[in-house]
Amino acid sequence: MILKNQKESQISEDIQIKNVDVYYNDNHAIKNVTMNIKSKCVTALIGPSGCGKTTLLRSINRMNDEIVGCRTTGAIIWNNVNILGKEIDPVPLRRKIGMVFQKPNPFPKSIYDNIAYGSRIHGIRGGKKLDIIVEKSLKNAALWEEVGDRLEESAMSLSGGQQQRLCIARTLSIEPKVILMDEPCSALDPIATAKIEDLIDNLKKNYTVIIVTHNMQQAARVSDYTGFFYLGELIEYGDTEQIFENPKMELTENYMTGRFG
Amino acid sequence: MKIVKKIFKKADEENPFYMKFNFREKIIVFLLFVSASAAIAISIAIIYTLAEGSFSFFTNPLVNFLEFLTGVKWIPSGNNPSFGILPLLSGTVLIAGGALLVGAPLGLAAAVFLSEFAGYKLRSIVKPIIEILAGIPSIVYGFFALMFISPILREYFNANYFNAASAIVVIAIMILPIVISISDDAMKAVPNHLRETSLALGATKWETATKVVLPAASSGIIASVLLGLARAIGETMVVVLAAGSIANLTLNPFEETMTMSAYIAKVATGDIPPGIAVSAGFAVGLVLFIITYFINTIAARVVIQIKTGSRVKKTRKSKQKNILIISIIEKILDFINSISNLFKRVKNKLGYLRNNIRKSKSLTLKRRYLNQRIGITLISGSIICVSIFLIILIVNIIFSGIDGISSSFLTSFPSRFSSKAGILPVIMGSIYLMLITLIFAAPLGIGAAIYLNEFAKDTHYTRFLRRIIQNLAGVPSIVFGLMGLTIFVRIFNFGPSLLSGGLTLTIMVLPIIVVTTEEALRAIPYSFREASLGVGSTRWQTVRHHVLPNATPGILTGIILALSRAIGETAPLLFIAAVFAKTIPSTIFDGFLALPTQIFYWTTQPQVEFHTLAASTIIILLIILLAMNTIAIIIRQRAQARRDW
Amino acid sequence: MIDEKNKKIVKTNVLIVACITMGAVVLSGCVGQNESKPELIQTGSSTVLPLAIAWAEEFDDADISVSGGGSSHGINALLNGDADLGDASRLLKGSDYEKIGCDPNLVKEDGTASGTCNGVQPIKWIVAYDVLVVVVNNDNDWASELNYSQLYEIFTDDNPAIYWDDVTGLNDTAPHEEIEIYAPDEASGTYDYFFEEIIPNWGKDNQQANSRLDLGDGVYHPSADDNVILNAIRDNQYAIGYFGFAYYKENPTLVKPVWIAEDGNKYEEPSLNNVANYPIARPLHIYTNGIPKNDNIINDYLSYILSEEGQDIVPEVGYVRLSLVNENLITDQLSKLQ
Repeated sequence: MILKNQKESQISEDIQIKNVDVYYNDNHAIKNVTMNIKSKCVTALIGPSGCGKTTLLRSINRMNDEIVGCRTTGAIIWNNVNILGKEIDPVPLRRKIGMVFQKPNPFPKSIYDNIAYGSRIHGIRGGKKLDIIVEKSLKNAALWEEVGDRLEESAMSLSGGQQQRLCIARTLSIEPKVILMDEPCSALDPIATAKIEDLIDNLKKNYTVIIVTHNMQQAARVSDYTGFFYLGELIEYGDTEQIFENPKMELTENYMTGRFG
Repeated sequence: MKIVKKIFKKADEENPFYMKFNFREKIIVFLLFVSASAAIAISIAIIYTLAEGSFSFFTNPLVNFLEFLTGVKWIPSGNNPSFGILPLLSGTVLIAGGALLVGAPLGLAAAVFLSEFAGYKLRSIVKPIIEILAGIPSIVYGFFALMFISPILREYFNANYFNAASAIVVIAIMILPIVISISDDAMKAVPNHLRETSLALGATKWETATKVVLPAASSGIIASVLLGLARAIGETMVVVLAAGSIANLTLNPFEETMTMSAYIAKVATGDIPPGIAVSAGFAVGLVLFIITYFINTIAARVVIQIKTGSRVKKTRKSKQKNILIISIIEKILDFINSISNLFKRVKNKLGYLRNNIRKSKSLTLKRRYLNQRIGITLISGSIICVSIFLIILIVNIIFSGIDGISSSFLTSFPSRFSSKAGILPVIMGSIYLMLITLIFAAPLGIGAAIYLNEFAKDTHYTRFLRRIIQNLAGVPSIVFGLMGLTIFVRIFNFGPSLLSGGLTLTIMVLPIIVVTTEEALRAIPYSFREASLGVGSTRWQTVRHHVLPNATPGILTGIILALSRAIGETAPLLFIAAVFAKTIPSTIFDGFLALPTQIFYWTTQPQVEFHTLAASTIIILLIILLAMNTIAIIIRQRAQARRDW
Repeated sequence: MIDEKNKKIVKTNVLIVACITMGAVVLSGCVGQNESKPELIQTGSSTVLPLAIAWAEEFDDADISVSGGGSSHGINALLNGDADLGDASRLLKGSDYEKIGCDPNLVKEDGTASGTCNGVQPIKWIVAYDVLVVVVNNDNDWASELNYSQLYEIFTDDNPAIYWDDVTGLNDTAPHEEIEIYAPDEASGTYDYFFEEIIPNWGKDNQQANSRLDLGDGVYHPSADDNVILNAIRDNQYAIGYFGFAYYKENPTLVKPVWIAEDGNKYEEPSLNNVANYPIARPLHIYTNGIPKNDNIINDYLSYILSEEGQDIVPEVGYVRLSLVNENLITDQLSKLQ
């Protein structure tokens, strides 16, 4: 594997997924997946609908805990800690591993309050500190110019693309190390999509980004590494260029050439 | 007909996209509009009933309008009557306000627990129990307040024999089912992905529940609180028994006092010959009507504010309405608006100070979990409180009445001999009443809600309609009784029959159905409708196939609440239902007996055996309610389980 | 797919509702009511109500449905044609006529009317008497006998007594404790009757005094429910009140009845048999539309009420039979029905 963006030894910041299985009651959704997500890179998870990409993504920030009947086995090591361990409290974990959902879902509050929510929960009550955080997050999400002068307005009055960037800003406001994105552009128009893809490119300077996407071209544009999933199994994982131009598995090639999915 | 066909044919040939005259759709929309406007007709009837009496009151030389509004003595009888409404007003504020202050937070807390923290099994047990609470007739509460609560208050708090506090406590418990049920539905309707997103930001469950779900559900919650307040204001029986029958200007809950509704009930059902004391009752009713209208208007604005989290924009069009009252309302609202904005700014400034003065230590995780634990303890405590009261009440009733229940009790007719007396015609009468009420109220109420929410444009008229309907919820039940008598018994000439009784109850429960149905409809995401319209469905098809089926749980909650209310209310039937008969009604034009009026009658008899009979009848009433609720809840829970959005 | 399931649910519901309705209908059919007797509607005073129920129950020749709602409602219903019999514990007044838009001057002082209203000619029938009993707490040994002027001092606003030993004649025997009154509110016929007895010219413009309730000094605690009043007096040592005899009759050990003298010292026991002497007793009325003719079932009903059989029931319910008050009442009214 050719490593892009070779960084200093930050091996411990990688997310090492080891033999992870996820069951929804009797449904074996994720089958024995092992992969190493490089830190400060963008990793894309692709594959046809229902292949488990979102499930895997959600296991990284323990969102699957909220689903009744969902069982996860295996280990995900990050910073020398097994995230899946019973002794790990998901609440502080999720501050470090943020998530952006498929459908933009701002809270029915003002723009300011949406961004401030995370910080307020973690103890920053108000005042200048909060203002700075809000401004910084909105700038990092490339939304400040558009809404900076109307922070008191309801978030619901923004367009779809703006709302999604708002959600990204909201996630950024709590200063995570990892950002999980579940098909963030699928509900957006091409222009908004382009803006977000630019954003992702910027984000990888400071964050580890894992993005689930239906859109192969997007994966090709945006990611450094790509993992191809099919029916709960990780079929192939590697350098994006290699996966797209020179897939090793036949299944991967069939998917790329559009024979199915 | 041929010409019409020709016109259509031409349209088809020329351009397939011409707007077709969809007859069916237009009729349905029209019918819905009529249902909604029925509320106007009802309100006009009520206002007419009240205005007529008020007119003769205010034109009486003994009455001074200014003194009426500002006077502090209400002594309507005797040589030197005084008609200052303030004591009655204070009584209503004290009792209804007190009940709301106790009941709304308690109910909300219980609802948060039910909706966000309770397991599936616990929820399926507790929610039906809450709805049974809704059906316990107020007369039972009244007696319970007097016999159980008052002595405790006298013992430990040195209260009077009659005191407002026992009424407050009991009315608070009475409004709990409304607040809990509707708030719970409102919170359950908040889309799951909002909760997920909050959790994904590292919030605890408690923080998610209080900072995300509650605000998102605010319109439903406020609707529930308003309905609760309306119930508290319109309550007559409990107050009459426990709080006292004398107008007393006080805000001390341990003194005796009388509310506006109680006064109306007193003069309507008493022996005072028609005269100034009686017409004063109508004037009081009118004041009550106006007050509830104000409250509803203000609350509507508050909902918008909370929901969108932003200041209400001044979107008033340049053409000013010249009506004085509306501009007064607007001024008051602006005032309230600016005060709340002031609060917000102060809070923000305090935030600045806080961060500057001491090193803001972030809320540690430990602290947050502590908050969560405290929070959960508090709210589960409230559920326990509610349950304990319910258990005491039910156990009390069962002990008093269980001996009286036998097959002969259920199949005999009432009698002056307590040993012979039975409630067969009473049960039948109530069941028939329920059916009639259901047949009229459900389509009318749901239709009105559908019209308002799905078809009507947001005009002044529709906002006015909505306000009028909400207002009806606050009318004292005795006024419905008077109205039913005047309109259905006399003007329509249905006589004191099942039909008159059913129609009167329909009008009384209509606002409950409309408000809860509207909330249920509002909870359906707009995307559902968009998807349907996107494939070319008409509005009505969208509603029928996509919105209504998903709104069924909430609509059913509303219907359950409404029917529970209807089956237990005495006042509306006081002038229509009989308390003795030898036959069962065979047509809807026959006279009838009903459970609440029978209970009320037997409770006020001197013989203790009749009190026992009353208790036995209450047990039967509760069993019927349980049956009704169970059926509806099974339907509702199946619908809710299927929900995957 | 939702539609399919929904249809199923709707069908189940309809089935359930249909079952209940059918069950109800079947049940009602089972309890045979195949004879069609003439039906009468009787409504009004809650005081007369238990009597009305008793009579309606015993009278087999008609199906009488009985309800309460108050004397005003009873009279109003009669005048509007909604009811055949209007029960009233008070007399018909001019304002009853006025309310419907008829001439109030047609109504005389004795509760009869010289002209019709709305086509209805109200005829007054006296059917029983109600003894009004003044009660005190069981531990009250100083006020077991009171006369009208003492009642006047306690219950009116004319120089009212605050403490029990303020009352004339009780200055030495009564304790220096505040008087508490628990009694019916002004919407009750009992209230009206009580004060008519102790306040001269009550109800007229030159009424001598107002009731203690109208004074508003907080001593008179009114209630709409006599059971409640009973319990209040039972629990309060310095309480005094009044209500209809029926409530005392059912609970004779809970409170103590006061012997009353209209004037002077002739204290009379409040009891159903002593009604000829006991001063505070009031008539109970039923109003009908005109004097029912012989072939009218109402005629039979009234005849029954005034008969020996019908009057036997009266003391069972807790009221006073007419013969104990005045034998002529029965014969005079019965003769009108002949």
